[in-house]
Amino acid sequence: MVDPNSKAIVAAEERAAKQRFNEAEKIYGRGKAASSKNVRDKKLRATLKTQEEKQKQAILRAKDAEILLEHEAGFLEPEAELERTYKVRQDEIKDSVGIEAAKKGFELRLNDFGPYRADYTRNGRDLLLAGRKGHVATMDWRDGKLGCELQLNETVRDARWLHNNQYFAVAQKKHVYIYDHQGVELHCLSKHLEPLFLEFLPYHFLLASAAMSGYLKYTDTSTGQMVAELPTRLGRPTALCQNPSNAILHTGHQNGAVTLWSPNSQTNLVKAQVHSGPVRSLAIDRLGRYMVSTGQDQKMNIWDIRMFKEVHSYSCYQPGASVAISDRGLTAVGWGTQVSVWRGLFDAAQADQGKVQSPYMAWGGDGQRIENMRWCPYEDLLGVTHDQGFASLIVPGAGEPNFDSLEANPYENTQQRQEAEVHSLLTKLQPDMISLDPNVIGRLDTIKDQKIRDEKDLDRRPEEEQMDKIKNRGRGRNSALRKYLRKKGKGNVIDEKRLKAEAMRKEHADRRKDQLQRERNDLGPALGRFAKKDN
Amino acid sequence: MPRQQTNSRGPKDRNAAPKPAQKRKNGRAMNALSIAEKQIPNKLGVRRTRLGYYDDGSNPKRYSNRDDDEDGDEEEGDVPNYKRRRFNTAPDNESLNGGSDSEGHEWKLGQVDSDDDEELDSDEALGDSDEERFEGFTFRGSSTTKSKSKAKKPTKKRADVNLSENGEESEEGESDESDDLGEDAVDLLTAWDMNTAEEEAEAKKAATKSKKPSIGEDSDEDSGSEGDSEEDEDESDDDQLSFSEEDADDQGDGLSKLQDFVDSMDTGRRTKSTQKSQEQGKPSEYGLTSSRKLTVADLLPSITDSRLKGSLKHVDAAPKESKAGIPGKLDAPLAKRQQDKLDRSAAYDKSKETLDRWIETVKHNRRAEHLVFPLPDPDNEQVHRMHSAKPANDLEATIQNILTESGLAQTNGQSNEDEVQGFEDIQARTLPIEEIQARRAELRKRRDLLFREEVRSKRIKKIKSKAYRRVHRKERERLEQQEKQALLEAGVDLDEMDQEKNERLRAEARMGSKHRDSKWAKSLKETGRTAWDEEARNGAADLALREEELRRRIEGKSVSRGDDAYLESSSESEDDDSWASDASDVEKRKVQKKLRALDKEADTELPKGRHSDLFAMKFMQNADAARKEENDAEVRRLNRELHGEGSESEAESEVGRRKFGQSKKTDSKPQTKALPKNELEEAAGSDDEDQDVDIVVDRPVKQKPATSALSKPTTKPSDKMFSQQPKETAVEENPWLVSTERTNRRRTGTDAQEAMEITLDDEQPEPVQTEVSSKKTKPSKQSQQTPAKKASHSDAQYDSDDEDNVPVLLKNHDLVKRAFAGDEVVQDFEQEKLDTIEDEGDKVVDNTLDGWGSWAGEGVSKKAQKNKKRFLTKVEGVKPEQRKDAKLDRVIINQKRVKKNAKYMASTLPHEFESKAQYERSLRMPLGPEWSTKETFQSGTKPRVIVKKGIIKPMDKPMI
Repeated sequence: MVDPNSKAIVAAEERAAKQRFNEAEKIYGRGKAASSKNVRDKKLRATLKTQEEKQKQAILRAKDAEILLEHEAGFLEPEAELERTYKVRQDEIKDSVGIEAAKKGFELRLNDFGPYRADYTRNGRDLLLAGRKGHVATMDWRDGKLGCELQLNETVRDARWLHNNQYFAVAQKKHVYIYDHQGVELHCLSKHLEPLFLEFLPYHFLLASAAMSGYLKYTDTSTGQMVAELPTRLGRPTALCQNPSNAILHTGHQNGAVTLWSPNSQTNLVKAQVHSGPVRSLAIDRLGRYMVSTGQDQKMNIWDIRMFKEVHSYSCYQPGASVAISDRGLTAVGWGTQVSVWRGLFDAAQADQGKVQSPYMAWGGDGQRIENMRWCPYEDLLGVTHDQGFASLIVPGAGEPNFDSLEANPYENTQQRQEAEVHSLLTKLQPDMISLDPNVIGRLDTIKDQKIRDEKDLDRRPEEEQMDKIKNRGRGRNSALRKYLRKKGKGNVIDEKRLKAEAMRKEHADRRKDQLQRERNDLGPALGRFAKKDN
Repeated sequence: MPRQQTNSRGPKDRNAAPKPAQKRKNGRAMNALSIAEKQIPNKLGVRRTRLGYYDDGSNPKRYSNRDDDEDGDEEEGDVPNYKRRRFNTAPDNESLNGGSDSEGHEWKLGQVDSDDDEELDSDEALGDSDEERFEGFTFRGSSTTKSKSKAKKPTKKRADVNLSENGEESEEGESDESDDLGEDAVDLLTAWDMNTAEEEAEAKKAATKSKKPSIGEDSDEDSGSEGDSEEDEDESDDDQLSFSEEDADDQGDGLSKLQDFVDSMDTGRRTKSTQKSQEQGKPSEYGLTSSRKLTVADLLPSITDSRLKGSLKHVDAAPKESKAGIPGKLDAPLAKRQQDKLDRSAAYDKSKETLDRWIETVKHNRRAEHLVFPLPDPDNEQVHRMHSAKPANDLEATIQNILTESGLAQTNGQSNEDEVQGFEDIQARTLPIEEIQARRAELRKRRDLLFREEVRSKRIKKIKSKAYRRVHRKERERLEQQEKQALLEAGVDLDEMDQEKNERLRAEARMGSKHRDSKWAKSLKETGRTAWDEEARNGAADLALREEELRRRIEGKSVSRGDDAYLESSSESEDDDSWASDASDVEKRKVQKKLRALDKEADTELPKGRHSDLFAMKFMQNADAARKEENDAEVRRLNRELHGEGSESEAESEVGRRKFGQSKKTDSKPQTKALPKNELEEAAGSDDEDQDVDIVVDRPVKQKPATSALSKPTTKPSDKMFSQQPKETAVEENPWLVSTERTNRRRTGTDAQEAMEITLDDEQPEPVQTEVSSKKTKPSKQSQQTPAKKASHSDAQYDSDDEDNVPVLLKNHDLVKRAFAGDEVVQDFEQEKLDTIEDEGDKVVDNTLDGWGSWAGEGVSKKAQKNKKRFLTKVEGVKPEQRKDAKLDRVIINQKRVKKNAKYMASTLPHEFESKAQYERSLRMPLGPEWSTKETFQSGTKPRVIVKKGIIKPMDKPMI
């Protein structure tokens, strides 16, 4: 009152700060704080308070760090009311963008071995092309450098990069094979029989395949072990995709159902009747909020997979053969020979507005049947594979403009790639951690005590471990060496000492054998059989 | 050894001295005689008590009935007896010293008995065996009255120093020495007589001090002159020459004797450290003094010799004498245990105090988020003076240049201010003097204005006018509201902080207003505490007042309290002229206010009385009334005086009004009547009344904003949105599309209008959700949607649902439908869902065993089989209505627990947390560098304790 001006200034500042925090919280906030009012323990109250304060700081800092995001995202915007962005053709775009950017849009004519499937590495640097008739090629698409080219002489149904551009898996006629960047076959995953689709979960190092038999199989590519084999019991799956936010696999089926799988459950986690006809293709957005599916019933359905509710249903002229969702939420649908890219499908769903009326971009109609589509990470590119090759389309605003080099670095060198590999192996998530709600880890288990007791296997033999108890004295002759080997020789640790011991043992055995032989020789052929073996 | 001696000595001597003077003389004279007769070189004419180690009661038998008060010349013979033996045990005395010291003052008492002590001759004292033993020794130091105080002290000192020497010198002039000693005693007495007062005061101190063995010689210094003289002697100890010189000063003839005496004493001490303290008439180290009789029992504890102990066993049983002191003397110090206890408690307090100084530091460190060792030394923290760094290279130089040119940086470390100042100075030199003066004047004027502004703001701050405040408050509130509005419009909802603040305010208000139905109020009624408890009475009065106020408010009348009402009106009038009022006015007003306050008090007293039976008593009321009358009259008089210049009627009216306010019994009617009266009386207050009414109106208004502020902004935009959008859509699109949009909007619908629409539209959304299941409705729905899209954009190629327009496509769609018609996918799915619901739901398990509790096997009649009791157990599953997919018709969600995930869950609530929400909140914010900024990551993972290289020293002093 005395000094209204300064007060007003202070109030304005406060308001600005508050607003800034609110803005930051909207993006980076992690929910509301638990009220610490009723906390009786002083220390706890203090910790909670500091914790909240830290969170607040973190949020503000994250907001501040936005300054480092140097690139902005933008879309094609119509200038006039009657202008339609989907009428813009690729060559027009190429004309109007810079040379370097225009170079990114290209087409590969591969008439012989199509239809093709494609995959980009996680940093968007390398491209993997796999033709149905056995042609597999990797390339650094920016430079147009071919990494390797294989002719497998076998049906190839799908191909996937593993965690980096050094390895890729190919679903061939009978098995899944893993090749390295030079095209050398490294592994044959013989348990993945007749695979149709492949998915790779980068944080868990799990390679999953949906087999023709309806089995979903997970292999840990870091250890090579089979993690899970899950029967879908719904026949030959028609689509497979992963939810990037929680590593759940979605499979589409012939009856229009989509089932959700984790390697931890033999039964599906969720089953949803998405289409009335067979599911053709599935895609899930980066945040794991929405699923887009196309079906043989000429529908494109958008599901909110947090609530498992259908949000919108769009009709197509033809069944959509392939769907892909870019980092920024552009949805590409390939139907027949055409590709249409939809923008703002999820925003519309979120805002409970009506459906999006028209697509954002369009391509095709040249008689090339679309087989598969992939968005190139960190680029405004859509890789479209069709029966006659591969086309890289420029779709403005599709990719994430700013990359996080801790996550995926498009410009990494060898050293960085190796380090990232080691790092990701060290921070590898266990397959057991996969669940519908990824936040379940660390949560308090509120299950009833009764259930816990029920879950305990009361029939477990308690002496199982005791059976293994190391005996002090073994059968037959005992020596220090034998004792040592008995006690220490079973472990998985192979060190010098053990090698030495084993060598000594072998030597002993050899000597004994020699001795026996000699004795036998001494005794002659008739009496040789009486030679004392245990000597 | 020497330390002990001095310890024991000081206090004893002091206390002992004054009284015994005469008797001692006698004793000494006798002793001297006997000694002279014997011609045996006696040892130690000095009081042995001064030499601490004499007190080991080594021959308790003999002296058990004696006082130590003895000058001990007679006993001298015995002394050597034990000298050697006891020498080793000397250290034992340490503990005993304290006791003796503490009781040193009893020394005087003992003098009375000293006569008895002289029973023993030195001849007797020195037994045959002793003589044999100590043949080689010179026994000296028989006490005579001649020796002076100074002479005496040297002896002591000698004893200290000469310990190691042999007793060779002692043979010289033994007889003289005894004289010296006598003199010494006399002198000492006189000296002590002078010092007694002083010493008595110090005695206690000394006693406590001497207890501590470490203090040692300090006790000597405690006694002023004596100590000094002793010191002097100390220096002369070593060589006889110096010693003799000093003696010569005091007493020429006694010199050699004294010397000898001292020597003899030395030897005596050396040879025999212990025994017979009781012989000498001085306080011993046993806690006994010459004043009282020494019993064997007293000596017992000091005996270390097992042989002796054995022989003295029977004495143990003897009851101890009571040590009642003579009144008028110093109090006996507390027993050692008690004293120690006191000491300990004092020490504890002290140490606690010192430790308490650390508490804050420790707390701070405990609560600190991070600790870095070695801890930073607060003293060594230097404030680094930032001086302008000189540019190191070209780039920096250029940058610096640019900065300085643009005025962002300062040149040569000079601040901008300085520069400006310098510049101005230069300018001033060039300017004509008039201009400078004008400038100065200008500056002064501004300063003056500033000052006035300050004063004004101060005065405004002091204003107590409610009306003034009210006006400003309203303004402020308006501002706040605007702010809130702005915030809400910006999409920022009211913060939690605000909520909390409001809640707190509310809680405080509740606490303050002492709700009528509160426990407290009830307890007041029940217990009648108001009768005697002033506080409770006040509270009750307050309560009553509030109640009334509330009632009035409910009735829609002025809210202000009785006193407030006229305070307001009057203050209003004051306010008006306050701007031009002079000091006297202000003062007068103050007095008036006080008077009113008095009135108010008088008012509030009544209800207090009402609540208590005591106050209801007649005599109390009478007295009260009388007093009140008096007071009222006084107040009235004062009022009249104050308003003398003003109208008499005003004062009168005030009184009248006050009466209204005072009479608590009067209901609201008179009050309301009174208010208009006020209006008539006070012209200035007339508008105030209006404002009073305003308040009533305002309150609801004030509350309204609080609620409406929340609701309005939210509804407003939505209203706008809804009102605008339909319009737009109506313009652009056809009704079909609108209807679909409405269905979508239904989820967000907030206002009633929308709700109405929703109810109308209810039928339509159905098809959207059950699109697949109800195939019949499907075409209609699609036909609804499609035209809309057609309208929105004419291009048919990418139109997703264009079937209606293009018959071929429609046919196509129909075909598709037909193609999948036979699949019965949906039916299958529903069946499956039912199955799973059943499967995962409750189950009944039959646990019946054949033959258990009934007959089994062949020949059991069918009836019996039927009647057989069944053991059924129900296994609880997921109830259909509790399923996650209960409301989702096209989804089956597996409700089985995923065991593999369970191992990553916390089975119990971790320590510290009190609720699940708290715990899970603590996990909410990720720590990793991938999810947060580097700063956040580092601050989140910084260890609590960081130990740096270096020496970690304990803290010297508290940091806070």
